[in-house]
Amino acid sequence: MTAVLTAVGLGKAYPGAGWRRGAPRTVLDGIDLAIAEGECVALIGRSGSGKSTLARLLLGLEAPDRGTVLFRGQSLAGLDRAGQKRFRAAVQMVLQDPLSAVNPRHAVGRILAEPLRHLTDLPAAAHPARVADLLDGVGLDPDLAGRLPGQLSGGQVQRVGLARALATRPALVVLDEAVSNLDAPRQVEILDRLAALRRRHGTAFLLVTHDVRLARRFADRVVVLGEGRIVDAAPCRPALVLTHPAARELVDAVLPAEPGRP
Amino acid sequence: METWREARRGREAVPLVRDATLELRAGEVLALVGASGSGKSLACAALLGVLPPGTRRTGGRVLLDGADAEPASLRGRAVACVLQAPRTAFNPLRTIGDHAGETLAVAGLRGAPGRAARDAAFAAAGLGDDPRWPDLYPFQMSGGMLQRAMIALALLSGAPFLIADEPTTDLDLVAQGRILDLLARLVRERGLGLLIVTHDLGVVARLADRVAVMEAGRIVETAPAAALFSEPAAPATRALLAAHRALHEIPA
Amino acid sequence: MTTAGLPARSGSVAAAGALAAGFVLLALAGPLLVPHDPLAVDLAHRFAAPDLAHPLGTDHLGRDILSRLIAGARTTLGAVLVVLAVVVALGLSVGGLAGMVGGRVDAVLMRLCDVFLTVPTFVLALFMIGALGTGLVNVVAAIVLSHWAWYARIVRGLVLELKTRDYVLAARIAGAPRLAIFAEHVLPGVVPPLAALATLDIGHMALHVAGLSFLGLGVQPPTPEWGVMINDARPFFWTRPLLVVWPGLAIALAVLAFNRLGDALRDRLDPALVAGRGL
Repeated sequence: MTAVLTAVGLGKAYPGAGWRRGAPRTVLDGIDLAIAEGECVALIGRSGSGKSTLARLLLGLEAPDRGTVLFRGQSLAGLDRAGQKRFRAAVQMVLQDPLSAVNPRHAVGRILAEPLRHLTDLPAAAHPARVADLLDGVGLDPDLAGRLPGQLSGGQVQRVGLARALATRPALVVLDEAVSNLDAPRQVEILDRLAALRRRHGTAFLLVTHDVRLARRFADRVVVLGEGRIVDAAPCRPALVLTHPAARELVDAVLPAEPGRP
Repeated sequence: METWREARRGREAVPLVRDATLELRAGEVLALVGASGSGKSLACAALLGVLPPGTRRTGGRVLLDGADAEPASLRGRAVACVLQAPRTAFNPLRTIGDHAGETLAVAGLRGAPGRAARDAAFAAAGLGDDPRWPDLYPFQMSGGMLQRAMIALALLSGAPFLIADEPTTDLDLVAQGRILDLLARLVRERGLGLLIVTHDLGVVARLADRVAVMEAGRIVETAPAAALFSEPAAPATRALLAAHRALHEIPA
Repeated sequence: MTTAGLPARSGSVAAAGALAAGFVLLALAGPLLVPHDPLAVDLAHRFAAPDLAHPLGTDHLGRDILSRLIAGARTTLGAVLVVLAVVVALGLSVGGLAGMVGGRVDAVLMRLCDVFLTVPTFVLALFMIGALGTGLVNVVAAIVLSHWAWYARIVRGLVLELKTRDYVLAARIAGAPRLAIFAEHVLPGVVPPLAALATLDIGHMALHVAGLSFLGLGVQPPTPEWGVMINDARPFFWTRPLLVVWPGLAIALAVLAFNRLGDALRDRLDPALVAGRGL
């Protein structure tokens, strides 16, 4: 299997907080991670473990202080304009808060056409049909294309965000806590939908979450981030076995399925 | 035993919550569950008399110890509340100590006894270990710490009932577990009556004695927690349970 | 919401809007509306009292005052419009560039703004007129130079705020180049508050134009302009006070109308409110 995206020795630090600009705070250190074509990886960790920063580095939205991100073997920093366009089309992300991730002034159709305009060679005349396809693909009525995000429910906007990420038929989609804050029926629905997409198109996923249940249900393997380092990693099947204390803490935090059983 | 009863609230022509009757007892945890948009938070807001603009209560009563009570007069005295997004509930320009002072003033506690009560409440909420907490500003605290501070303020008000609206939704699971442990301990040790609003049946399984399930603005089922999990009656309950269990199982 | 809560003030906004629209109409259609040639000297009818032929009377050279007021609206407001157009264009490009690019570009542009912000309009105008001579063009240039940095600062602040929105991040992920992000996602949030600010500044800039012209630094006689008219009438203030009152009233009304309108726009388009209502 070839890797879509590879992180080699990634490190990132932010300037210290406060008036006196203390020592830089290291957020990520020595991260090595490879995501193969069609593979589904869960990146788990507590709030503040550096998960979201890692997602942003992998997407090329921020530059790492150390190490490199490789897209199909090529360094992101060394990509020319055409290469950057290919990378953006191939690696997409769904953001955490669906409603704030869409421009409230733009209709759904325009939101979905944005990646089509910038990242594909699809002629503009073909956009409406593709938008309708995309909406249908996430279980939304194609007539919603004319609506503004404010006129949709939270679950519908979340699916619009997912449809936008799928617009360029990417090879890898990063979900940054995009499932964690939904209620259980919606979580199950969206995970099932993603699993179907994976079967149909062979899309790879990186699921960033603090919920071990979601990781276990959806991913092939789990990578645990603790204080900016990868502290544990394990396959999900036949059974997920994690040993590092930071990982155990996350596993133990899963609430009981039934009352009366801790 | 204290009871509240309320029914029929609506918004203009569209009723959002109807015939919702909840009974909360001291020393007991009642969970109000339902999918997003089922009217859980609105029902709570009506109970507290803090309905959002554009909605109003069209009917129903709130009873405290069997006597009619005005929702607004309960707030901060008989009932304290903990909200979903702790960061927006605090004034960013004032320290946690300032916020505690405000609550003390409402409760009529001043001087040394006030400070003692304050320190006791924050210690009970698990913030006592850190001597700097009164001087911290909200932005210097994590979500879990802020939620603890909010619970401490609720304790400080001395109210026998606590309403927690999705108190752990914005926290990671580890922080969530600790907050739930804290709430369970407070109910046990202080005999608080806790109404917890949540969409997560895991929270219910961890904490609740009784459960009320809400769907489309109506309470469709009320049952002891164990009975609800073993013999769900309403279709809405079964749908929630099916999704909840699906998340726990591991597909082959 | 804004007007419903303030019924007493909405009436004044409507009046201010009507008045401002009236001034703009006069400025646009002035030459078609003037009853007389504003420059026609008629020494036989100096200081004529108001009558049907000259509703506001004539001045010391027998020129029709109403015609000169109408023509003056065009000179004053026209100059203000030119100033605003240049200032808004400069503000959007410099502030937009600084906000979008950030880093060293931002630092250099903002230091440049700081330099211009330190110079008061009148001082700069006096300096430029001393160096380049009197005239409307120099006055316009002086007002532009002393005001554009303000606009650039405000645009930059708005851009920085809007840039942190999640949907801007989402647009980057969707491959939108910086210019497209600025035009499609940032600019629509910058324009409303900027429009309110510009409206608020119309009155203030009209005062500058009239003030400098009154001092004899801007528009030169006999061109009809409100400040020039007041200056012309000054020697006759004790005998013919109305000659000063008419252009003074025009300036006062224009300033009040545009200020009130700008205030109302700002209240309505307050960025926080706009964000809160998801517009």
